[in-house]
Amino acid sequence: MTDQKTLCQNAKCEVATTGKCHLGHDPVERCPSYAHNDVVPDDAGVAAEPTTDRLAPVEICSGDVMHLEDLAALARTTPVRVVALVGDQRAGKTTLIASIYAMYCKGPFAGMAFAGSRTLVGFAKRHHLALLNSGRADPTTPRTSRDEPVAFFHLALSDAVGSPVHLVFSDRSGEAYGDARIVTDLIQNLPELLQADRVCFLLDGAKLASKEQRPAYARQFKQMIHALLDNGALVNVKAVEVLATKFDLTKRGDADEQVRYLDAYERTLVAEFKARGLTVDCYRICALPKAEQSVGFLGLDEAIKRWTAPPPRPELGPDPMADTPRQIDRMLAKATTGDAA
Amino acid sequence: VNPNRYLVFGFQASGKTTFAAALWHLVDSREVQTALAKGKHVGDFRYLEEIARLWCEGWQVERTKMQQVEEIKINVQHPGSGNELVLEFADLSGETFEKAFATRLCPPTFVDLVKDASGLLLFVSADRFLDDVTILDAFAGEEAEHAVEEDQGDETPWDPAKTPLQVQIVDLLQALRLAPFVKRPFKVAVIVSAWDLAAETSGAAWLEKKMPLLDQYLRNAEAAAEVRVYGVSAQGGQLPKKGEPAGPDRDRLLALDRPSERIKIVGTDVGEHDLTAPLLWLSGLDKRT
Repeated sequence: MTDQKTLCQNAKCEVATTGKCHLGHDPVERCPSYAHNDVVPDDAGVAAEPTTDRLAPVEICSGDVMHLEDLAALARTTPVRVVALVGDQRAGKTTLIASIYAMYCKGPFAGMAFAGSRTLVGFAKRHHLALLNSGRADPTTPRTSRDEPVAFFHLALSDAVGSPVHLVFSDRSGEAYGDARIVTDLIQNLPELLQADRVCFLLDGAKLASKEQRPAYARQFKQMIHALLDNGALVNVKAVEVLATKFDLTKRGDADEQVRYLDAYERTLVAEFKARGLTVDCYRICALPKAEQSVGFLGLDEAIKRWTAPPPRPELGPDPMADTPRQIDRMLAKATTGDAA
Repeated sequence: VNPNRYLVFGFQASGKTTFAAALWHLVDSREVQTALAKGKHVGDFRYLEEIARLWCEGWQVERTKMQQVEEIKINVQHPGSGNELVLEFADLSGETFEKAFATRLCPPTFVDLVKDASGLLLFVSADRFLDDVTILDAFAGEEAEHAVEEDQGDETPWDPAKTPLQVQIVDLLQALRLAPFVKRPFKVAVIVSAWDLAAETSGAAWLEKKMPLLDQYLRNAEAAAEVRVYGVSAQGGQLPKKGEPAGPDRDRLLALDRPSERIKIVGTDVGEHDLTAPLLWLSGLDKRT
């Protein structure tokens, strides 16, 4: 059986055992802290703690990366622009994401200011090995495990004029994309592509700079885009980009030869996919210039500007009419189509 | 929501307790004119008296109790309008915020305090360790030959405590907008403490330069209805912990006849020593004359 005492709210007061009020009230009933019916077992030993402190702690939002259901919930309340980053392992997907976050940690960037992120903890986890307090001598990015599901990073950016643009980047392990390229049934396991407004294929500058790895890699890179195109994974996509990463490596060694090869390869990509009805734009980036610092952070600001640019306004005029009997309509049709014949 | 209840938000050593101590001395001593004057002396002032005594004696004001929340209530009067009100602060220990960031859990008390608050006093200190320097920044200009090779990654686990402070603050401020808080936008008074070490012309300039992510967030996100930034030196200089040898400023500060003049504050519509100015602005009484 538990022995119980009537306690004073004042932790220092020993009225329960001495009969004297710690604040000198006499009679003790005058003390506003006295005679509260907070009765606790003797062995509790925490009489001074407010009751609420003993309640279970409350969970707050994780701040970590979002998953598909989180993205769907966010998209229900906020218009989002999803940028899917596709590439082999170590192509630089996570590094690109971490570097964009790091840019905003230093101030406004690419004409946009940071206006929030649901995934700041996720960003911080991807960037911690680039900080001096990590104890490392060279910066790096944690590898994304193939066991991890697709992750989404959120960044709200404001140009101080309109509403913030909510960018969402997808990230998953390069192995998963490599597997889906070889066994195309696995493409259906890449739902981020159906969510994406824009798909960015990351072309690994390190592999392209290596004459040994270049031949196979150049073929497999194109194969990836063909695979997604042939299997309907790009049907909802409004823009396709190729981002040649690690441009600092491309500028080392025989830089002229490497840049010449990259130029030619990009032209091939554009032509090859144009023939298939897919517009591909090529850009070069350096998100972590550790090999050749003179290159600096390259292409990130242009990328942010492209990804946050206002969408093209829809054409509000009437569609040109074909074979219309009225001369005025025929003239309008010619003016619209530019047909001067 | 209590219209005169403010949440004091700040990590460890951000100057929250020193501010409270100096504020109490300032209004209680009536040594200098303040925008909000002290009202009736009715209440439980044990905590305030304890920390104000340390402040008066020229020692660093340290949190002596490890309670998660210290309730501070000060009766004040607004001479301009004649209004009397009770300023209430919930002074949470900095540890509460650090643990919340790391564990994603917070005490239920904190949820109640946030829901009840009408404004926020956000403390950051100009006396801070640079925690956001990147390796590339630190070794700018030095070529890293070894880094050309593909590194094999590093599985050193992430340590939440090493996350830059401004990121932790922004993350928790954002959390206030979501469940379980679902806080509507409210006024935020940013107090840059240890202002004597800041070497900047204004609190806003300091925030923009030293905590740019937080600065952008406060100016662009919906979380803050209005923001003002104040630079505050609540103790007036560098002071030792109690019992330690006097630092460079203690003797000078103790020599002042009116200890309230140790206090320095810069910002919009502030008197030189008037710590009540941010509270007046938060209360909205500055618009009533």
